[in-house]
Amino acid sequence: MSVQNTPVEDDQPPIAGSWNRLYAFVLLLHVAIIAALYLFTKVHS
Amino acid sequence: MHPLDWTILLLTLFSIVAYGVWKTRNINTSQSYLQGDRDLPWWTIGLSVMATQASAITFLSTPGQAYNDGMRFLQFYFGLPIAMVVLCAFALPLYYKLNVYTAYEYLERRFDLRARSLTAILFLIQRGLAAGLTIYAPSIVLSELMGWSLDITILVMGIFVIFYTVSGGTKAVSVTQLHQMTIILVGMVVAVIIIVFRIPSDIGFNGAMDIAGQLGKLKVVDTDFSWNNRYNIWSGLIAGTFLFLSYFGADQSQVQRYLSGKSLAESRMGLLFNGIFKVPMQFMILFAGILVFVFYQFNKPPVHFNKANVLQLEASQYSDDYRQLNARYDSVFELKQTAVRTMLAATRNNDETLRDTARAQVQRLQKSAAGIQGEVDQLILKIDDKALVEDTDYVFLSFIMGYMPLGMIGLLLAIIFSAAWSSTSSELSALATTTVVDIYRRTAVKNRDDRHYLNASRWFTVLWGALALFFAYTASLFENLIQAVNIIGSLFYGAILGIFFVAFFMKKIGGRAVFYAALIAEAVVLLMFYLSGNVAKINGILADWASNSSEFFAASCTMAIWMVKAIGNVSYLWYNIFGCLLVMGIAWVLEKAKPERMG
Repeated sequence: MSVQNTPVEDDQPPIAGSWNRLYAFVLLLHVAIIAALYLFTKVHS
Repeated sequence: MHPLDWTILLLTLFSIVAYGVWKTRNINTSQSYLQGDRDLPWWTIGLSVMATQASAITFLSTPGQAYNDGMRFLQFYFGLPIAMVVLCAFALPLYYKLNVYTAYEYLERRFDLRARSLTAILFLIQRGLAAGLTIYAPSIVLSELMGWSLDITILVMGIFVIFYTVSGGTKAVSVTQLHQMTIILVGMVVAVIIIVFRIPSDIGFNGAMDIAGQLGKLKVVDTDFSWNNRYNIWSGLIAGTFLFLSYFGADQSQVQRYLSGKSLAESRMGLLFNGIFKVPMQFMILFAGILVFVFYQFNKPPVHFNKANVLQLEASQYSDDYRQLNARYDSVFELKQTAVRTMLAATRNNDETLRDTARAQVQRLQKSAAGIQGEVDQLILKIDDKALVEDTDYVFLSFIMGYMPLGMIGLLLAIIFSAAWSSTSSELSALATTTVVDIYRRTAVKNRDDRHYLNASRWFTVLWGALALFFAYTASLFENLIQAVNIIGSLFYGAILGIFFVAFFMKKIGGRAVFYAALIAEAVVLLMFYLSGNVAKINGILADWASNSSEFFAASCTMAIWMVKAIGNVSYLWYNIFGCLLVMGIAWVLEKAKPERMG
């Protein structure tokens, strides 16, 4: 089996306009989830 | 089990498997068998990636872990979304550009054949072992349900999943996983709603949250850092990121899932979907365990959750002792229930003094109950000193069988089986693909026709299935299944990830340096793991040496004792980061000491 380079068609993401913006959205959402879980911990301890 | 539950269980499982086999009936080339037709949309990839990771162990062990230890296990997944973003940005474009079947093919392009082969072999060892555990976990369920021996059950479970993976290859895995994951998500939401309604009406959902919070079960985020604390925000974010980079970026069981996408964009979207929904999904599964915990504050739980052990105890010479312990457990439960109600009433009335007094009483009674459970464990061990007394994995199962309404038992068991088959089939498919592509076709049997490699792929799937069955027979040696899977992964992922990190980010380092660095790093990680289980024994020997030797040697032994204790206390999640950094560091030193001429 030979490994061959294939031209990659780097499609745009269906939302957010660019991949970098989408990555930023995922990471910010994750920060928000952790912050919410931290508050959840504080409220219930 | 009621006929309606049987109907739901069998109909769900057989229809999904039959659909997968029918949908992949035209697979007739090794490429379509190993790689699929590369036509999957992002939602199928996302659900397939989630289904591969969420094995039956997730649904058996995780609620039990929350029941015993609260929700802090969620932090284990905090690194996952970060890893998804890193992989989407760096690894996926490279895999697509090189049009690879496996992640390890890239390593031959970047380094040489031995780096590719070593990484493939490390993957085969760890994934082969883990596949045994993913068969073993649901077999516990079925054996208890059917009254079959565990050995027979493991055999039946394994043969079924081997059949449909052999039949349709990687595409059968993906198309069945789409439906399996849908059943899993819908079923878990319904289960959580039902458990909420099972909590006594005078307590309600808010009361359940108050009770769980007061008893420390809702502590999700722990900001205190400690090397030996398995689950805190730092181990989750730092070590967890490394673990998931390795699992999703270099473990063929996952790489194969997203390389089946119809474009790079679809694969990226599938991984980001996983990054967004994984933490909320795990929260829901852990929360189910918390609700079961609250439920059992008002409904007496079994003194021991493994029914098979209890039946053995009742039929033994220790049955009277067991009955006495059970009666004591009943008394403690009644007192505890009253104390919990007092604690809740005081919380609602903002009476902090009474609340704290009642909580201290509940905690004392919990200790008494745990003491009685320990005595029951001792009785079980008197009958069979090799019996498995750890019953965390039975908590959720016991609740399903005892308290879920008609029809839901069948659906929840379908979830457990779906999860088991979805992850096992991914593993078998990936093991066969790596064996054929990276070892068999690359170095052992070259230049044969496609039919030969298609048949070889099917036979290797059968072979790995048989090995997974063998490992499943030894799985009962592990105390907690989900931890066992993660520990096995952490022993090998660090070195694998280190090789990929060097490949991606240290462009001047060649194959020789990374090969030896990976071997040394793997040996160090295995040594650390050995030390962690034998600290007392090794330090005992060192202390003996210290007492019978010269001052200088005694000081060396004392220092060694300190080091063994420090290394032995490191939690397994950190092995991922140590292994990775060791490979990178040693490879850099080796390359500096003896530079390799880069071609």
